[in-house]
Amino acid sequence: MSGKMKNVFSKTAVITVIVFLIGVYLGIVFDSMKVEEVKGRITQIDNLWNDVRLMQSYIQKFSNTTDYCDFLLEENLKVGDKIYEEGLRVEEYEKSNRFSSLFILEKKRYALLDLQFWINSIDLKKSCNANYSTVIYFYSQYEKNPEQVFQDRVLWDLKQKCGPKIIYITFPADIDISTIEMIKKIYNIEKIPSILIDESILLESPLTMRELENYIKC
Amino acid sequence: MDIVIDVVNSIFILVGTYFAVLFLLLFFAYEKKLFQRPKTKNFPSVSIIIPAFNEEKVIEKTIKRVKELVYPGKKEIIVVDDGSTDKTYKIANKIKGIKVFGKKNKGKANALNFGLKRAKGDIVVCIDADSYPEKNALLKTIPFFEKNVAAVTTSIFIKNPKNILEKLQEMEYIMIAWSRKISEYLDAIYVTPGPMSLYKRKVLLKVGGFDEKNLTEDIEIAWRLMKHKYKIRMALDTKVYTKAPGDLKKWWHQRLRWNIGGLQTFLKYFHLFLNKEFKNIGMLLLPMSSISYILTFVGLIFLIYMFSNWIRYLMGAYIFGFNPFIFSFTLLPDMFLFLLLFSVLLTVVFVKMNFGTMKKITIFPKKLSNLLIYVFIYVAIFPINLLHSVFKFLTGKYEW
Repeated sequence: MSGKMKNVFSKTAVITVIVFLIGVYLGIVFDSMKVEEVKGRITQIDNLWNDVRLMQSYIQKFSNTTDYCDFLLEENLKVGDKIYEEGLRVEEYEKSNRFSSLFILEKKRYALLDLQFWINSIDLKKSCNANYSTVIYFYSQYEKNPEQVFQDRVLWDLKQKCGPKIIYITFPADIDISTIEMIKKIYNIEKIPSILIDESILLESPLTMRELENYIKC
Repeated sequence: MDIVIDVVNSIFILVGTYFAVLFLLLFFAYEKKLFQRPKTKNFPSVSIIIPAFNEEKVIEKTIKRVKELVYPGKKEIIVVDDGSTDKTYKIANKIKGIKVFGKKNKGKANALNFGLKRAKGDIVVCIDADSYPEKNALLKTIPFFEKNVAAVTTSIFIKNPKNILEKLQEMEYIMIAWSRKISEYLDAIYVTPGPMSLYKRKVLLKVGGFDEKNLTEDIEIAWRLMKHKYKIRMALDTKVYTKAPGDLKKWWHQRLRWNIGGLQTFLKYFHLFLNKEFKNIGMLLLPMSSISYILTFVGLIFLIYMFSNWIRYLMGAYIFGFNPFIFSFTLLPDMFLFLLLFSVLLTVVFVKMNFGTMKKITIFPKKLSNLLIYVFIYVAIFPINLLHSVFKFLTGKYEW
């Protein structure tokens, strides 16, 4: 093999490595762009959420909550829909994330917002005697087994079917959030994935649509 | 599992990019020399050997075309009837000016060796009984026989492709011819194809003739010549037309034979793996073949894994009662999207350069739909055929 040939092999190797490194570099850039976008979106929901909470606090402080129930429930549902919508988007972004470890921080921020929304939904349900069900889905962030995939899809279909009649919230059960750990202890949640309905019925996944419909009427 | 998938994808992309870039670099370096041939005034005597087995439909035409070959030197034509059960011998024997031999059926390699022993020319030209070289084929190929060159190969094209399968093979053969020419610059032409290849008779006899145990004697002899430090050249503008399998069953059988023969050759010379003394076999052909075998099987495992995931998903949908056909899909930019786009670009350049060169000597297949079928379906069948070949090879259930 001549020197010219050896040169071709090394040139090829260099070009291949350069292309691959460009790919990795762009991957890192794209991932940090995605993190920034997710950060922006979560901040938007956070603002929306703070707005609704302030509204509620004002009403609680200066007037009777029950007089404003329809309004408060409607606003709460709006936030719920937005959180749910953004949750799906965060999931899409998460799937294509390969390099950024910052993503998990945003995921935590999103989960904390979800927690606040859940607690608020429970409060409103009590004070306004609302008839929606809360469906809380505890899943694993790191071990995505087929059972979890099936349960995700069933719950997604259920949410599409029931719309505002259920408040559907998902919690990554293993991303080290103290409140989630506490809730797991309170409800004795040992197996992941699990579903908590109306803060009283704990169901171990996977459940079929029919099984779930026995507990949730919509 | 995600990380495993990413790693496997990365390896596929790296290897694919490496070989595509290598071929393109060689192409750009030698672009102007692709159709050049050495000048010669020396036209040695040639013996044209046509092995034939049940070729009554085509043998007359092939002999006619071979007789028409323009050549200033001495030329003898030897037809070896390999125990045909039809009228091949009778038809060939009626034609004047050629030597026709009949023998018991022992396979193509045996028929070639039979002819080789009786040949007198300095150059032996092996031509399949269903292949037709262009008139100037000898004039275009003989000049390549320089000092250390033991064999010269030609561009094989499909004769009158009619159905889609033949048209896909037409495309494939065009790509193969171009790639073989580029491989010449690496001294790594891994096959001297049966439809028409030329050899120095003395060299062929010295290395022991064709391997009769191998299903693809044309691959094995190329590797053996390289092992003996001989060079093989490719006369890109020499056109030879051959018949391609017109139905899937015959095509599948042909590919099984090619793959099994390839495997036989691969294992026969595997002891030279990474042997620097035999650079083109040890450092190029064997590692390249190993990588392609490994990637084929990894790819196949991948496909099976993805397919089983789909089945599981559909079963899950049925059991758990969710709609499996609702997808949320957003095309988000990531590392693989970039690399995928780069690979697509590289493939387009590769195909464009390939067909751009080849349209100077053959009709360029214009149908984009055929090209897409070729890239996405035809090529995707290869790993399955290879798996079948390995199974047959390991169980010993194979024959010509």
